[in-house]
Amino acid sequence: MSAIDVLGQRVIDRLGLPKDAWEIAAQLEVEGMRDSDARTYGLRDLFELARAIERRFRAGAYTFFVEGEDPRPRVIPIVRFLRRYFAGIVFAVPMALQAASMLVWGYGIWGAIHLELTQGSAIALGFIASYIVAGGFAQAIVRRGLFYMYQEEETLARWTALRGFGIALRAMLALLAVILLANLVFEILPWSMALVAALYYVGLGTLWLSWSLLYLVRRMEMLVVVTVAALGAVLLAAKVFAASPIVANAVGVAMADALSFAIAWFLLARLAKKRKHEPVNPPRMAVLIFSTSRYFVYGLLFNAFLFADRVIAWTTRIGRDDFPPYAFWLSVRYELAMDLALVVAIVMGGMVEYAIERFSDKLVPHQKRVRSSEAAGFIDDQRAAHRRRSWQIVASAAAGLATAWALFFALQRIPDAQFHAAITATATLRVFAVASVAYVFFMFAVRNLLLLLTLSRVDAAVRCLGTALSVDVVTGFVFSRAIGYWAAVLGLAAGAIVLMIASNRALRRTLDRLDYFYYAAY
Amino acid sequence: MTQQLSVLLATEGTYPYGAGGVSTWCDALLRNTQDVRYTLLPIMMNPHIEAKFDPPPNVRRIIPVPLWGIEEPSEFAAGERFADLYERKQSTDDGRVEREFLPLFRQFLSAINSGGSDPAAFGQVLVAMEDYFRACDYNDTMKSRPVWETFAETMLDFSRNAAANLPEGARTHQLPTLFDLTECLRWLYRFLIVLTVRVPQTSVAHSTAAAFCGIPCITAKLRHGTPLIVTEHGVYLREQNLFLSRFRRLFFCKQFLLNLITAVVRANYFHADVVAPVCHYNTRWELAHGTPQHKIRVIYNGVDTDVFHCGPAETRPLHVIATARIDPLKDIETFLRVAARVRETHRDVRFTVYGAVADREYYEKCLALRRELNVDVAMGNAVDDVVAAYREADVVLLTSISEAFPYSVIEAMSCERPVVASDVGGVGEALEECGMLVRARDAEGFAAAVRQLLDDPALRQRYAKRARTRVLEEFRLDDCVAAYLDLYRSLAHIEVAA
Repeated sequence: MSAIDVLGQRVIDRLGLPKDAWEIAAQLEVEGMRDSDARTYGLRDLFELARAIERRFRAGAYTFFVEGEDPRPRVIPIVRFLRRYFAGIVFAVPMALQAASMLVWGYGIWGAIHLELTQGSAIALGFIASYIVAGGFAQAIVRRGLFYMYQEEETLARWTALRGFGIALRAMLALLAVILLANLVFEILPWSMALVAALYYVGLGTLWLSWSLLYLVRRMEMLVVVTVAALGAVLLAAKVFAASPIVANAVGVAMADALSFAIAWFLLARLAKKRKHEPVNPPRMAVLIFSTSRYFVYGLLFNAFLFADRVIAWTTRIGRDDFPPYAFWLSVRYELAMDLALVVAIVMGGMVEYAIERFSDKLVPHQKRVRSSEAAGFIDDQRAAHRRRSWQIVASAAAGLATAWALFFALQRIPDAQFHAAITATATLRVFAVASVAYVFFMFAVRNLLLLLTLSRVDAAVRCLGTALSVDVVTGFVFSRAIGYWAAVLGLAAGAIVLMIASNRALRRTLDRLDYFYYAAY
Repeated sequence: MTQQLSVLLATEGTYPYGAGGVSTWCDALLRNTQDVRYTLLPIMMNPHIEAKFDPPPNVRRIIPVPLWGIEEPSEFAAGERFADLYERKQSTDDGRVEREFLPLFRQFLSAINSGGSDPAAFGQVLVAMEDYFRACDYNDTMKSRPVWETFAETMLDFSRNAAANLPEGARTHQLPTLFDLTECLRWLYRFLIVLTVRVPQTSVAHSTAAAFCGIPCITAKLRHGTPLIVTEHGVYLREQNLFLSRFRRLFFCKQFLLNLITAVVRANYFHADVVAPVCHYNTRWELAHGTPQHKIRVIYNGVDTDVFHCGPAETRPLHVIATARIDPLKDIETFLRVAARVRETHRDVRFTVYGAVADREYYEKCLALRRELNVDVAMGNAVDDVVAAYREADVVLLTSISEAFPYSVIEAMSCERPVVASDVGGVGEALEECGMLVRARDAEGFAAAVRQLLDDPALRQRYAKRARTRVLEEFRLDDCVAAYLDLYRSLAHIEVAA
């Protein structure tokens, strides 16, 4: 081997595959070589020496080695599945704890078995209003906060999250003031009911916003801690201090609010502490609001879709035998049926989470394996994987339906006359039957919507939700007024089917050009 | 005629948000040219970096250009009404992108793929793209489907042709994966953000590197005829070649980025009225990339000799220091090896590296080597008072594998400290007979030189005295600043006020 080839091989060993002679020249310089060294090889300067080495390389004179990808850490599939499945249903744990507490002790955090229906209706109104209004803000907070978290800008994530929290709270209070003023003028609800609704609207709205902060810091297990502590506070107030159900619930919500926000505040501060020396330089507020507004609308529509049928059902007297005295009146049978049907969504939720995670996990490694000239094959493979995951979700739907129906029949054996009457009522059965199927369609749609959001296609998701919500409201309204209040659930079913079809179509268009949409999602 | 000089000073990753030699130079230039009104255009990694320098009052305006840490450039678009930004978004759709942007984008990609072989045409494309982004939204354009498809098609064609020039086994690496294309266009999105900036018209545009920060200066020259100075501290192209050599697995990405950078660098050289490297050694790369000799004017860095002045070292035990950030280019690993070798014969000698950690991964590597060598070297801490660091030093050691005209060398010389340095870049021009030069990475050579100085106080004294004299004669801050002021005035055709 000639001297120049010894040198050339050494440089190629360092570079792997050199781009050109300039890269080789730079490498020669850091080897400590000067133009005078090049002259010992009979060449004028380092650039000429680099060109000579490049020519020899292109002629195949040197061996080169380019490392492959590092092996990915091995994970046992069942462990991965279970971890993700349970991460997907962790949202349901607070609900399950409350349901259990309700059955055993008669109290939840925002409900009690022996609550007067006037108060129950007020709490339901406050709950639904808070969930819909806070939903938009929660989405905006999480979306923007995660954007900064992924970039390790924890200080800014904290700043935007807390600023978003403050804006949301002010907006919620401003909306409340308008609604209370409207109630003053039009006398829609009695003040005893309106004020309870207002109290729960504020309390629960604050809770949803605080929970969005906990989601942002990826500490969802704290929801369980907060729920247990709040339930403890409710039971202490009711059982030890003999507080009325409404007061005990208020204590529970206040406890959940304070604890959730304190934990979120502490965790955000701890994250931000890592970068305490960095200044917070937020973007222009107008642009920030504009760019997150689509996520706000998404959250608003999504949560509105979840509760539209209830609002439609509880604002009519048609077909009701409990003779609602006011414009908004909770139907325990309808709510019971919807809560039981939700089991389908919970069981499927874990599988949806698993499907989304697997899509994200596999996308980049797949992109690294496929040459751009084979983009069509990449898309076919992704579509096939998507279909496989769809069948997994179908299986989870079957499991969800079986679980929900089993629970429905099991609960009919509870020897409480009032409860038995409610669960065996025809309206309950009809609502449950329709809602359990509607939730199957809805969860497929949720999978589609989440995939669209993963690829930053929030506009498409908003369009799907807007259409579905319109169908939900119109169908629910027409049938509930034509047949009876329980038929509002048909709106949910129609909306869910439309949502599934529309989101499916949007997702198909996205997957058809996944290479482009993945680029643009950045 | 006498009139106020105004200068657009463009920086990249340095002043006022970064520490280091270029920032030190910028700060000195700004503070010592009080009569010049500056508009500062710093290109920065993200908008949340704390400023390391407080610009003096003659900096009238700062237009920061963050490349990362933002969702889209309009988030930090200074001086533009939201209504205008909104209207721009509304007027951008795929049809307009196809009609107005794609022809420019194709020319741009073609210029990149040719490695900037026609810098005049490249400059014109930059101006046209800048014009387009004044009417249309940057984010909506660059993330549009026509842009992605054009990029994918163009780069695939380029790769197929380029593959023919590679040895058989290397051809598969030339063809991009989907991941390569995605990453490259995402990078391009970031680097071209600079085209959304509107700068005021000034007497002179001064880019502190032949890099992306030079783009607004190039377009200012082509729009208004604003004279352009490009100062080269390091050789940007060489440094990027070294940095991107790390991309062993991503050949296509490395090639794309280096072609892009080469095109930008050549456009800087081509459009500059004066290219001002800080040492003669750097001119080699500038000349090789088409800069005519007559455009090049070497202006050495200078130090404030009143500030960088300290008496003889009085430390016991003897102390060898480096003032260098922890970065692969500084080759701290060789410093550690030198320390280990010297300690074999000189057990009491202390070794310290003063400088912030610039590359966390490399720092971990150095810590591992320190453990492996079992050598006690203090490192990882930035130093506020660098003169105090020199005061405690008996020998200053610089083991860099790439340098231009390092401040650490001339500051040490001004402080009358003997220097042992690697013979890279313009280090030899600075040291001449006032210190010892060693081939880069030659740990044994460095150790021998350090031992020689430690054993011979008279030699240390001799080098120190000569070094101080040389700095006073050649590398004074006042001379460096005066040279730039002269350049500004001559290029702007402004006479010195009486």
